Order: sequence, then structure tokens, then C-alpha cells
Amino acid sequence: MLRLEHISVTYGKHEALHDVTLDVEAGRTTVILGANGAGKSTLLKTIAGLVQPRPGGRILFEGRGIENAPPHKMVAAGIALVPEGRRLFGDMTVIDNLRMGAYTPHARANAARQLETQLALFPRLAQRRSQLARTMSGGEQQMLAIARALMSEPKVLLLDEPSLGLGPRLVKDLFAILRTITEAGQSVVLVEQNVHQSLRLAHRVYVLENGRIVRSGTAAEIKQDTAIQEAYLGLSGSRPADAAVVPVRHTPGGFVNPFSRTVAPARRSSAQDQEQAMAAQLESTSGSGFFHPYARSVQAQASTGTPSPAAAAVPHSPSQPAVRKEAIPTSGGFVNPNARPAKQ
Amino acid sequence: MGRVDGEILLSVRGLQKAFGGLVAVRALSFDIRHGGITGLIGPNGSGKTTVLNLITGELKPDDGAILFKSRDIVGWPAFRICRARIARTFQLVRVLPHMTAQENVMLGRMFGSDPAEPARAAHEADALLEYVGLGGRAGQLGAQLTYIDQKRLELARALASRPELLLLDEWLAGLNPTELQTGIDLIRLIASDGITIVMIEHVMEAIRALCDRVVVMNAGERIAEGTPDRVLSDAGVMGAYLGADDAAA
Repeated sequence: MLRLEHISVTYGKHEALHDVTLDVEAGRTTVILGANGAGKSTLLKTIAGLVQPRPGGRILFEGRGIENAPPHKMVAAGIALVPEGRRLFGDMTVIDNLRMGAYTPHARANAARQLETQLALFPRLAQRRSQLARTMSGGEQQMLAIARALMSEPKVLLLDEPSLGLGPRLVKDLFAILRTITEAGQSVVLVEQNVHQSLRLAHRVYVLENGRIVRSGTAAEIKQDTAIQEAYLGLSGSRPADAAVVPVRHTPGGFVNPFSRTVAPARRSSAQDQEQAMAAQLESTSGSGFFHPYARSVQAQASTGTPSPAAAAVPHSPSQPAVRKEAIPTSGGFVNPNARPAKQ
Repeated sequence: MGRVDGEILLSVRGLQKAFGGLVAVRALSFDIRHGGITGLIGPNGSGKTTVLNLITGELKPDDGAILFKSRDIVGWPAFRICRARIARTFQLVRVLPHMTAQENVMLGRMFGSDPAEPARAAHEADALLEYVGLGGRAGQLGAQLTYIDQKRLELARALASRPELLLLDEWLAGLNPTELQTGIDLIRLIASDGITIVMIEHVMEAIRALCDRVVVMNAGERIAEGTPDRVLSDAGVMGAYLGADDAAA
């Protein structure tokens, strides 16, 4: 239905997308995963016509090349974007925002029926129909942004981080509504940091890293991929299941606060030093090639390396010989494949 | 600073704020003790950000007292509250778009609680940028940074003003689960440097990992307060905020 071929986008000297080729199937949910800054929002903006791709790439929508069409033509053709940050008309009422969504001639003809449909799908909006958009809570605004996009009767709905800033219950409500929409056959391209929930909706998943598609597959295939688990799902590798886990209070990896109120070396026990030395040793042999995004200084000072999961399994304190110490699920080991290269 | 862990740093007493007919904060009281990380949670629109705006002097309360280090700071202008050592980040980032990352942080250092001259401020700004993970970006304009890097920049700017109390407004929002772990580590490290933290956050994983206390708001009022374990299993909190099936999580 929608196909991108060799799409590249540059902002000045910075290449945000590089040779991206992907397919969006009709009636399916396509999820784009990637770290912040990987190019996900740029990808959606390019499809919506807000960003021009470099010459040579093609965007085919129902067989027609639309790569140079302006955004309003994209909406008329059947592509609607729910942008990050919602971009509502703040001083207009809920109903007027919805009517603006049905601005194209085709949608205008069906606006009355669509309005009924959207108010039934989002009962909260029906309650607030005369309220100004800017006075509503974040969750209500997000629902309105989605409903407004649906008013244009899109063939493809593009959603850019719809759960951003929503409380847990509203996130659940949101995904329930997305499920209703997708099960009714709406084609969706979803960019989300709520990876677990998104994968439950996904038919097809593409993974973006530094502007390139590095992996694609079904949701089940992507979930099985250990590199993906570590990079995007926050799951570290194997953890000793039998060992008691004692969290380390201070994670020693690489951060140095110039205004620190306490002198760091004084706080460090020799056991911590030992652990760090081991961690640094293990890290240097891990060969992962990934860097902790906050830990640039680690490369310069190998002695303060981030503990890796392997190091975390080393018995730690002589007074607690049976207890294994783990540096909080977080501290070591997780790798960010999109971390910018360390400073030269 | 010479403050003792557990001593009351900030005390909010009977705070009240209405916008027209909407009471955003109603008779709210809580204490923040020195040295801890307190989570401020609640549904969207429950008044959490308004509380931060009241503490930092961006808004004036209709009633109530805000005692910081035993002094009532109600009515103080925002800059004076900053110099009294309260700093914050914003839910919708407010970096200065036409200044470089380094210059953004220098402002915090030059106009904060302990003003430094430009050369020294620049030097320290570079170190702080490194600390929050923006080491290579000192020369980039605020507007050129990605959303997440702008959030890091705001944090560096807040730290540059040398706060005793740091208020974070959804600083971890928009991170994927792996990025989240890195962010949690950074917040933990800031706290371990002796900075008291109050964080508004919807990510319960972060609240559980970081906070020793949680205050829950709903419709402008405090509906629960306590340790994360206790508060997050509270029936009222689940109904108002978490949704039923988080009970087991």
C-alpha cells in the first residue's frame, strides 16, 4: 500500500535517514523502533510530506510516486499524521478541532458521520465537546489529536509517540483504543517508546539505528532477538537466577559531577575499586563496540569502567560471601547501539 | 551544605491554587526531607506541575505556605528562589534555542546561587555537559539538539545553578526501556551527590527504582503518601491512576 524506496533525508550536514526502504501493508500495524535521535520522527514527517527526501528516493502510495507532494496533498491522498506534541488548535473547541480534521473535500462530505463515529470511540471527547483544547489534560489532548486525524478518513494513520507524557492508566486506555482502531482494519504506522505495548499491536517491525533500517521482521521475531532485547526492551542478558541480588546504591560508571558535594574517591571502598577493575577488564574484552551514552569519560579512564553484567556476578563483599551483587538491573551491561561515538 | 539527612528541607503547608473556577491544588501539605528522592505522581491534570510552578515562584499560591530551609518563600520572584538553591527542569523543555549548549549551561552558573565569571562558568559548563552525556555537543545550538538531548541540557543547566533541591518534571518521559535505565542511573548519581530530588514521573519502574517516598495527587489533593511499595498497592491509587491490572505488577 505504502512503500519507501531508498529514502535519505539530510538536515544541513546531518543525515537523519539513510537509504531507508520499507513497506506498509494495508490493514496492518507497522511499528518503528529505535533510540531517541535514530530518525523515527523524521521518517513519519517524510511520509507526511513535511520533510523532503533527497533526490533518488521514492515514496509509492497505492502505486503512485508521492515523494514531492506537499503535506495537504498527502492528507487528501489518505495519509494523516498525529504529530509528537499533538499540535492541536488550542483556542478552538473539541468539536471545532475535529471538524478541522475533515477539511479535505472528500472528508468534508462525510464529516457529520465521522464526528459521530469519533465521539462514540472517544466518549471523553463527547463530554468535553465545547471545551477549549488547551484547557484539557494531556491525555484528553492526545485522544483529540488522534480523533482529529481519523476525521480525515485516512488510509494510513501515522502516530508519533502517542503515549508520551501519559499516566499509566491513560496509556492503557490509549493502547486499548489503538487496538480497537487497528482491529477495525485501519492501517497504522506507529512510533513508540512504549516498546512492550507496541509490539503487542505490531504485525511488522522495523528497527532504525542512526537513520538506517538495521532489522525488520514480525513482532514475534523481533521479540526473540537478544540484541533488540538489550538495546530497546531494557532486558539485560542472563542473570544468575539462584543468587540473591543486592542492589548497589552508587553506580560508579563514568559520571563525574564537577559540583559533587562529596569527594568521590573518599566514598569508594577498596572492594568497589576491585570490582571496577574487574569490570574494566571484562569490558575491554567484551568487544561489543557499544558505548554507554552517558559515559564518555570511560574510554579515557579505563579504571572507572562501567560494571558489566559479568562483573556484577562476581562475589563482592567478604562479609557476604553467599550473596551476589548486581549493579541494579540498569547499571552495567546495557548498551546503546545508537550512542554517539565517544569523543576523539 | 552541612545539612543532615532526614532534616526537613521543604515544607508545603495548606497550599491552594485555583485557575478561574478550577481548583488545581487544594489544601496540599507535605514535607521533603534532606537527602531523599520523592516521587510526585498522579493522573494527568491532577495538579503536579502546578505544585512545581508554585514552589519555584512561577505561580503564586492563593493560600498556604512554602517553607524552604525554614523560610517562607511564597511571593519571592523565581530568580531569588533559584538563588536560594531550588532548581528545576520543565515538562515541555525550555532551552534557549539560539544559544549553544555551553552557553545555556553557563547561564545557570553565572546567574545561579553562586555566580561565577564567564571563563570559569564555561569551563564548568563543559564538565556538566560531559556529566549528563552531552560531551560532544557544547557548541551546538539548543534548537539543534534532539528532544532528549534538550532534556539533558536542561538538567545540566539546573545543576549549574548549584541546587540543594532539584525538581524534575517528567525528565524520564519519552525514553525507551534501555535509555530509561541510563537515565535512572544518572538521577541516582545526582542524589548520591547530596542533592535532594522531587520528581514528577509516570514511569512506575523509575519511581520504584529511585524513590524512598511517594506523594500521590488526584484532582489537586493528596490522596496517598508513603513508600513506593505501599502507595502503589493502595486501592485508591490504583483506581485513580494505575488502572486495575497494575495490582500484580
